[in-house]
Amino acid sequence: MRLITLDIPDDSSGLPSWLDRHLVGLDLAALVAELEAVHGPAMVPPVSLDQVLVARRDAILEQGLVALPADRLRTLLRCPTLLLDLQELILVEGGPYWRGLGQPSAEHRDLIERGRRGLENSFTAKGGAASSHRSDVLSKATPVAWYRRPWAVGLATAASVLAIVVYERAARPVVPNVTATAGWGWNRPDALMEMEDVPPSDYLDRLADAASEWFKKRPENRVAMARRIVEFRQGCSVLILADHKPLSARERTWLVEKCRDWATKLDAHLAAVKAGRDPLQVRAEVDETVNSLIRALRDRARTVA
Amino acid sequence: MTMTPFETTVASDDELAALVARRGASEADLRAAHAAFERLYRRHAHLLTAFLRSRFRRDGLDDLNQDVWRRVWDFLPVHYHGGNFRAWLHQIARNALIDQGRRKQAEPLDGREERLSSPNAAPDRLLIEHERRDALKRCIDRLSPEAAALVKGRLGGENYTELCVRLGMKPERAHKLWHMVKAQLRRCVEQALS
Repeated sequence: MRLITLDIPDDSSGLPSWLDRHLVGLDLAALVAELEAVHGPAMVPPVSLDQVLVARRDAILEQGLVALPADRLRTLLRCPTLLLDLQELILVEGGPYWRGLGQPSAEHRDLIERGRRGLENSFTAKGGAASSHRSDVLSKATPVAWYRRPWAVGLATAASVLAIVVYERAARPVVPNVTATAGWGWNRPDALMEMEDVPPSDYLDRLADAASEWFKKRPENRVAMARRIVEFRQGCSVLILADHKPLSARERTWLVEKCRDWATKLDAHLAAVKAGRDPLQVRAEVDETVNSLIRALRDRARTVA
Repeated sequence: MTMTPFETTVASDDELAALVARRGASEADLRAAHAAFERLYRRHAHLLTAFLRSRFRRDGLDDLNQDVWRRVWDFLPVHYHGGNFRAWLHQIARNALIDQGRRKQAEPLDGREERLSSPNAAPDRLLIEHERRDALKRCIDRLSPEAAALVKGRLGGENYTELCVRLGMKPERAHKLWHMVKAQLRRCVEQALS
């Protein structure tokens, strides 16, 4: 048995992102149980989640626990049932950060995929319960396994719709396990998932459009410049890891290889900023790289059209 | 600045929910409803399944997840009025958990879960993984006081610098002890649960 808590980062700066990942993963119950073993079960936590998050609630919903001071982070560890409350809050109000937070475990992906298949099967089942609206909505009726219910047998026809789809992309999310998520360009949560059914040429064109978002901000100092490059570089990782369902195997290979080249160039630009080069000069070089990759994508889009 | 195609194609939850609700009019509407429903699932299943798993045992999770989404499909046209789909989904999930909890109350607890003993505990709050908790606690109780203090400090978020000062321990010693304790606890818990 794997003990979750023993993987706690040695460096306390890694603690927020470690907890963030558990809050959106399948091991939170185990983590809470283990923390209770260490600190003792608190039948009623001495503080409420609101008291712990006070004044940082919105920032946490947008950026994760990195926004919480260390002492309050410790309170969460010592009153671990608060983590369950926090998870609930994130489900309801969490920003894009929480949905783009790294790749789920294989077990989690499988669970989501089985759910998707279950829905698909329900829609493909013969009958016509698509309009079945039960009047006991939100009732507390004792549930029976969904597939044994009449509605499942009755859900009908248009089945093929779900057959087309998709969940692979969410089941294997495209965002790599990085601590920052910037919601622009290729790195916007759901960006690629929203394009599952487009033709290959449109897909490549849209990637080019997304890349052009680079030009929406024009950083002028080193810190802003480095941040912007890192964000774009994360987008490259997204593309490298994504399934690119609309593309053929050949086009996918081409795109991923290109992404690797672009990632290498962006790494070099970042290194230049870190080395103290004039940020405006580096920005001009990144502009050139981005224009070049946009051209490559557009050219390829025309080729496959 | 013009919007990119990405920006123009991202439908909101409420837009997708509206498509799901309009499923009865024609075959095309039904197809659109299914596609929209799939997108809602894809968008929210990750966090929802994490939420369900932390409150429900592993072996019933597939059925519970299906039950939640079945309810969403059934009830959305009449009972979702827009605004905050995630809050509504959360309510559906809580109700499904409550139903499961009530069923469980009618059965003897099977050793894999227990109800939180607080009178204020929400009915969807079953403390699962309590075997893990109890086994680990027994193993920690067997540690030396120094090792137990180190475990408590590390898992309470203290860094080595603070811990070493508080426990009067040299950093090298703390690192080595932590390494040994981890191996010891893993072995102990594995034996306890095997």
